[in-house]
Amino acid sequence: MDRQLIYGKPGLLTGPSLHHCPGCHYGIILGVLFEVIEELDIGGRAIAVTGGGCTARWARYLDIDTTGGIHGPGPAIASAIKRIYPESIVFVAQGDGEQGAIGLGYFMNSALRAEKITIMGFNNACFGTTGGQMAPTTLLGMKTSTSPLGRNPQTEGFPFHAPELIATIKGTAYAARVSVHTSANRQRAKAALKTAFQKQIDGVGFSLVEFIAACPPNWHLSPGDCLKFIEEKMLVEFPLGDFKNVDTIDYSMPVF
Amino acid sequence: MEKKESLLFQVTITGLGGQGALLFGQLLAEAGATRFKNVSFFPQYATVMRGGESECTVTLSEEEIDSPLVFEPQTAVVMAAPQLKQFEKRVVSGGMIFIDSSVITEKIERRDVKVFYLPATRAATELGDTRVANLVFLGAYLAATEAIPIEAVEEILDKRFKGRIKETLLSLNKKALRAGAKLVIGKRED
Amino acid sequence: MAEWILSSGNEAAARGAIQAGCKYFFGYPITPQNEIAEFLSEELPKIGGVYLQSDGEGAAAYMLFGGALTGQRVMTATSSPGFSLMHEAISHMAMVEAPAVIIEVMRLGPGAGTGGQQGQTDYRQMTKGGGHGAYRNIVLAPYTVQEIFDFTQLAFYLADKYRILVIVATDFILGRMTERVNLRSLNFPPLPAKDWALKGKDQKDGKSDHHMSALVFGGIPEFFQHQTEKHQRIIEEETRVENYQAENARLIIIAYGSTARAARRAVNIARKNGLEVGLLRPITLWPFPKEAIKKAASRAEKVLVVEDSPGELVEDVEAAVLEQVPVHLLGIWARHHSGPSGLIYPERIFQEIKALI
Repeated sequence: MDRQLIYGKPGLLTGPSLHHCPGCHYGIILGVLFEVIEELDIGGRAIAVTGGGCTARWARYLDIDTTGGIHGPGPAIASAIKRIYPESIVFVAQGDGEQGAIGLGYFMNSALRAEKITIMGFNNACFGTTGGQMAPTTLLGMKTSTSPLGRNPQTEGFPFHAPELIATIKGTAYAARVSVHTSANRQRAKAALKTAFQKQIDGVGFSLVEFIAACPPNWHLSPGDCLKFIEEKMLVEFPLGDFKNVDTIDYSMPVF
Repeated sequence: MEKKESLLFQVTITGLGGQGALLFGQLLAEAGATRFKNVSFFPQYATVMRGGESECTVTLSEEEIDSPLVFEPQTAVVMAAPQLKQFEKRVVSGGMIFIDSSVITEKIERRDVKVFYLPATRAATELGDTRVANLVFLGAYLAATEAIPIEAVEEILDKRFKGRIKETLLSLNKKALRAGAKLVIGKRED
Repeated sequence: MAEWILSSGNEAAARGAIQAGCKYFFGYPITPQNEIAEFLSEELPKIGGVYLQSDGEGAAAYMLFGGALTGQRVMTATSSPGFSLMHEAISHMAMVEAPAVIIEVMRLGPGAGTGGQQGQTDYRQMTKGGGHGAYRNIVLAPYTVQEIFDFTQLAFYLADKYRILVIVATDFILGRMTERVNLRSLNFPPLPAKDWALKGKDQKDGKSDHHMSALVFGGIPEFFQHQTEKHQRIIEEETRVENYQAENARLIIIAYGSTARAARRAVNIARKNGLEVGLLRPITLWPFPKEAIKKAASRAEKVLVVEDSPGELVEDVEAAVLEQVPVHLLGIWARHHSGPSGLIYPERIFQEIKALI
């Protein structure tokens, strides 16, 4: 019987394996990214900027130009690269701590400057790499290693909603939240990421896709239970969908 | 008094922010650069935009200028009272001090310096704008030292401001220079 | 054709960058470096470059990081508190060996200091690293406006030659003072191609480059071995010092930057008064001209360090002199008054010379 290859290693994946924990969704998201890059045929002009934490090693998984920095400077690094090579496709992969805490300034300001870059944000409700501490996205009442009694809004404030916030900025072309915890959602996530890159290719404006991602070791749940947790808890706080999607932005400048 | 053949002219202009001490220095430096091989201009002023003490030192020299800052300048132009005491002490023996006698009533006690008490602010007001007192002083300085001709500064004024400010304002600046020179010529001893 | 202009030190730094082919500048306002950002925000767009105003010095330094990795010549400028903010990125640049130039227009003191007035209190921070991780930057210390223009060009050459960050250390006095500058283009030997630059695989025959932590992805001893060898080469080939009448001096003054200008005048005054005094001026603060100072000290009776600081340069000088002769410090206490605009004048240095000789 003739054998046919129906699924293989993505062409842009450099190594044989990933370092992500069993049940982590980062690998699935990486797969989505590979598909989008290949389908849009932008691998030859793509430059990736990864973050600290669990995206750091992505710089070595991608057979495209990569760099990165810890503590959330990805959007600043990406801004410079994009300004110097406007024809390149520059994207940032960063965690919720980088985006909503230590790197919030870089993140917000790159959106405020209407940088034509794409940000992939990963929301797993905790600091994954460092051991599951409380993050800006930690759910109310959720116990982490630095919120042992559960996140209390009175003292720790409320969860951070990046796409909703970024959608309010004029220079934003696209802001969405997606999840990859079901096959249908994975398809929607891929479409969203494709749209985000398309906005950059078309030079419309800033684009952001936030991915909900499971973190089994830090959530102290089995991979299967993580899917349930996403469905029942995460998506209640973090609704999926497009928060802004425009094809043109008015860049006209008044003369003083 | 310094003479034209001197290889070095060095003046510190001191005033309050807004009095134009720095413009005096910039004009002298730029005009001086057309006549001297070496020029330095060093301004000192507060970080904020308005109100603090403002001072600059200009050196024109045919030789290398070792330091743009000098504690004991040849000449001081004192446009505001608070700085007078300090500069009375600092000017070198045989040097010159220019004082705005319309705003400063104190007198210099030292006898080893040449002092010009000039009503610069009054002269500027009579010309129509108090703010050109700095140009009155510059005219006076040039007349007293003959460091460079007044025309050299007028050329720089044209270069910097022609077409950018009103013609009347430009000519007011030039009139102030001439008025300053006249104030000194009346006082020259030689 | 060389062309003379009158220029402030800050403007000369900006012009030097353009002369060196730098088309990208990442700025953030801070006194007293603003003239650099202002000049480049006007000039760079005219030559197809970019002035990008960042959201702070931390971001500006990361933009410098990203920009440097594209293989283009990039620069930022700042002053002390802003320089502090840049150090995470500076450390990171050392890790990935990103070549770039920073103009550091020093202002006084820790914290907000004087809010933007004269000082030389960043010597340690510039020369010893400032950030974490045992790395080095080249630090050039000009003392005329001409040198600021020239050294900014040199800085880009050295940055590319060694894949290292080069800091051009000026200060309030040097940034603000205006002198005649010959707008000459300096010629440097050819540089290796930047075949490591990030510009997309299509521009590099399909090769992808990855600029991440060499420690996570490579051998740790190898990384530090490579860095140490590079630093050694820089020490051997790039150490620069100016000797001004220090050959047969009984007293040798050691000063850098603006203070060296005042010291030079003090030497001139002293020589006129028949005193055998000379000036050794470190041009590279790192690599530090240790050997030259050691040798000069062996022939002198005393060494006088002049710096507008409570004493930082003096530590390196002491380490170089090796107790052969006494080392004296004329530090920040020598300013003419205690207010923020106090300065160390040449006349004060001359007084100290007289007291020591």
